[in-house]
Amino acid sequence: MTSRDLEFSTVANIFEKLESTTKRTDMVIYLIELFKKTPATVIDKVIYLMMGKLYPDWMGMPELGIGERLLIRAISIATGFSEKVVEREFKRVGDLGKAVENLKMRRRQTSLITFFGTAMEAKLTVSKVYETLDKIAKAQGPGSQDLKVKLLSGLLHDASPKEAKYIVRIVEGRLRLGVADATIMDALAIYYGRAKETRQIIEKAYNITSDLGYVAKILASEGLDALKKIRIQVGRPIRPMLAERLSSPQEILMKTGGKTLVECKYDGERAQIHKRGDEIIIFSRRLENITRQYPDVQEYARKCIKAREAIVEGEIVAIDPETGEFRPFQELMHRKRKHDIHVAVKEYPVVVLLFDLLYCDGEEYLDKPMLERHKKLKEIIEETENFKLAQHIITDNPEELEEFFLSCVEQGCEGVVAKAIHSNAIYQAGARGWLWIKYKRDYKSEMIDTVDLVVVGAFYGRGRRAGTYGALLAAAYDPETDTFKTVCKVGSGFTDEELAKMPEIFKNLIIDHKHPRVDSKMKADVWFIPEVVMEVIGAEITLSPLHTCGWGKLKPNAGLAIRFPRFIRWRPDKKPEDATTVKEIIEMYRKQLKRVG
Amino acid sequence: MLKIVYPDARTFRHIIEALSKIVDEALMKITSEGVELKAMDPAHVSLLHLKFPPEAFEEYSVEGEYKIGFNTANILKLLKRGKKGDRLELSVEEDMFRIALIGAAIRAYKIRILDIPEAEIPEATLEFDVSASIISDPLKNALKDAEAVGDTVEFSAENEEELIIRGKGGEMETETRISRESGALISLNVKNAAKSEYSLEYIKNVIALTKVADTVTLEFSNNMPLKLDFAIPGEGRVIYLLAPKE
Repeated sequence: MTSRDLEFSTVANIFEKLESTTKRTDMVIYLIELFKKTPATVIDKVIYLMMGKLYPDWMGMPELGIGERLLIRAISIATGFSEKVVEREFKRVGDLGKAVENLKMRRRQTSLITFFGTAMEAKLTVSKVYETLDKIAKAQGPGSQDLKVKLLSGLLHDASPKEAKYIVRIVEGRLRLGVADATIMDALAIYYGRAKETRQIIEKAYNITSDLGYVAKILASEGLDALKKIRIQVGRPIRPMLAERLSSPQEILMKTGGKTLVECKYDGERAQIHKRGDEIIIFSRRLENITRQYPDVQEYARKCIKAREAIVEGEIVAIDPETGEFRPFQELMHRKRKHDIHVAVKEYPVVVLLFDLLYCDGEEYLDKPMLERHKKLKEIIEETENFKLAQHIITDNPEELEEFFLSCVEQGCEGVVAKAIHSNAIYQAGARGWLWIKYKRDYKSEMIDTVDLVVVGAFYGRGRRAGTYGALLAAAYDPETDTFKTVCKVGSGFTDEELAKMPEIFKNLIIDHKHPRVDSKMKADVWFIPEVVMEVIGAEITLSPLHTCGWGKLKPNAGLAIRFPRFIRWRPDKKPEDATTVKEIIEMYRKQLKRVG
Repeated sequence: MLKIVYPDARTFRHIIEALSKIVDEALMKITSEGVELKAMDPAHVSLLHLKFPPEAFEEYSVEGEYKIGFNTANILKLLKRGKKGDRLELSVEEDMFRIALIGAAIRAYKIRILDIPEAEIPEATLEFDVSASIISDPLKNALKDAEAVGDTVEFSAENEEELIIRGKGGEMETETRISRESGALISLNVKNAAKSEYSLEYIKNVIALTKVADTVTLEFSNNMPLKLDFAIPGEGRVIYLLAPKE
C-alpha cells in the first residue's frame, strides 16, 4: 500500500464510530479524523462509500444489482459456511452485515495466499473496495450474476469481520451512518481551511455540481482557489432552491417585501432542463436523471430554448389530451412504469411550465435577481402550447394574490409560489429560504358520490372534437332563488358515440343569450335552456373564483367547483329542478374536508 | 502443430467436472513438456493443479507452446457425451480447438479458444507433519458422511497407526477411521501429531476425482492447508490444495 491509498480498516473504524452517535458535533470530529488520514487521491471514493454509493445518483450509473440471494451465496463462499448456516445467522440477527461479521469472527476460512508467502496478500484498501464494487455494478448481461458473486466473495474473503460488515451494508444499500451532506461539508471546511469562509465556498461548489466527492477531491488536491473556480456545467445538475411556506397573502407580501412575483404552483414533476446544442438532459427535483421518461419534453426543449447552452427550471404537468386540462401528479407516474415510453407519451401527454433560468450561454444566473432571470428566461423561450412560462402575476395586493391563488387551485394546482423580486432575490441553490414562499391550500375535499347537474351551456370542441362540443357547462340547482349555478366544465367520460350525438340532443335548446335562470360568471360559447340533466363524478370539490355555486358561502369572492369531473350518464328521468342542489354540494364539500400537506 | 491423444476420455471428464466447480474459465498450457493447468477459486481458498507428462498420452506431438482458454461448463457438457472406453483427441485449428471422442465412431467438436489472462499463481512449497497414502474410496465415503452432518471436515493423526476423518459443524458428527488393519491405509508418516479443519463446501468439489484415482496422498499440519495428490492411472497427477478454517 502506498500513501496514495487508504486502508479500508481505517474507514470501517470511523464508520463504526459514526454509527454510534447521533450528535453532529461528534460526527464532525470523527470525519476530521478520517480526512486527516485520507490522501487526496481517494477522498472522493471515501465520501461516496460513506454515502453508501459509488457515484452521485444523477449520473445514472448502474446499481450493484446484488439481491439477498446472491449476497448470501457470496457470504457463504467467502466464509466457508454453507448458505443454510448463513441464512440461519441472518435470521437470528436480522441483518446480513452483522451476520457476516459474526460468521467471520466465529471461524474464519483462511486463504491459500496466506500460505504462499507475502507477495499476493494485502490489506484491503479503499481503492480495492471501491474498484471491486464498481466492477460488480458494471457487470451486465449473461453470466454477470456469477461474476458479481465471485468478485464480492473475493472481497468479503479478504475483509476483516468489521470490514465485511460494512461492505455488505453498502451492497445491500443499508449503510445508514446518518451523516448528512452538511456534516461532511462542516468537517471538510474545518480540516481544509478557515472554517467559515471555506464552508461557504464548499457549499457553493456543492450546490452547482451536486457531487460532494468531486468537490472534496478538488479541495484536497488543488485547494480552495481551484474550488472557487468551479463553474456551472451543463449536464451536472444544480441543487434546487426550495420555498418556505405561509398561509396568508398578507404575511407573504410582508415577507417578500411588497411587490412580488406570484406563480402558479402546478401539481407535476419539477424538472431542471439542461440544453447543450441538441442534447437535452432532464433532472428531477431529487436530481435523478429522468431524461428517458420525457422524449416529448426533450423535443420541446430542443425547439423552444433559443440558446446554445442553457439550464432552465420548470414543472412537467400531465394534461388531458381531450380537454387540455391539467391532470393530477399521479398521472405522471405512468411514465415511470411504462416500458414502452413512446406509448406512455401518447397516453399521458405533458406540458412544461417554466419558472426560472440558472445558466445561459456561458453566463451564470444564480446570483442575478429574480426578475432578471425571469426576463432572460422569457427572452430565450419561444413559447408554445406545450412549453411556456408558468402563469404568473406581479402584485402587492393581497386580494389580487388571493384571487390568483383561487384560480390556480381551481385549475387543479396546489397553490402558488410567491417570489421576492428585490435586488437581493438571488437563486439560493440547495437552500430553503424566505425568498420563495409557497401558499398552498390547506384543505382538500374528496368527492365520493356522484351528483346530477344541469347542462346550461357548452364550449366548442377542438381537434378530434371539432364539429361537436368539447365540454359542457354544468350547474347545480338553487331552490332559494330558483336559479342554476355553475359548478364545473365537463369534458371527460364521454364515449365517441355520445360526443357525436351531442349536437342533436341540444339542438332545440340553444338560445343566443344566457338563460335568465342561469347564474354564471363564465362565458359559454353556446347557451342552452336548462333542461338536460347528467350524472357526474369528480375527484374533489374545491374553492373557485370562476363558478357561482355556493358563491360567498365559504369564503368571500369564491364559489365551489368540481375538479376532474367525468360524465357518467344522461338522466332523462330527472327534471332540472331534481338536480343536486347548491346546499347539497356545500354539504359534500364540508363533510369531506380534510387537512392536506 | 498440436495433436495429442489420451487413452481414457472418462478420466478427463471427471477432472473437468471437479475443475468446473472451482472456476468457470480455465487456461490449459500445452508444451512439449506436457499438459498443465492451474486454477484457483475466486476467494483464493482452493487450488487445483493438473500435470500430465507426454508419457501419459498415447500420442503426443506438440511443437511450440499452446495456451487454450476454455469455459469449463461447456467442455464438461461435451465430455459427458463420451462413452466408456472412448479415447480423447485434442488438436488446434487456428483459433479453434478440436476435441474428438474416439470410440465406435469419431465424434468431433470444435470450440473457440477463449482469450483468458494467465493468472499468477505462486508455487506452494509447504512442509507437512502428516502424510498418508490411502485408497481413495474410503475418503470419498468419509467426505460424503461428513457432508450429511455438517459443513466442516477435520483430519487428524496422532500416531502412524490411524488417520481419522470427522464430519462436524452441525447437530451431529461422524467419524471415519482408516488404519493399516482396515486395509485402506497404504502408508502413514507422522512427524508431529496434527489436526486441522476444512470447509466441506470446498472439499466436496473434488469428490469426483476419487473416481479416477485409486489412491490418494493426503498431507496436512495443524492449521495448514490440506494437500490431496490424486495419482491418475498411467501417468499424470491432480493436486488439490485447500486452505484451512481457523
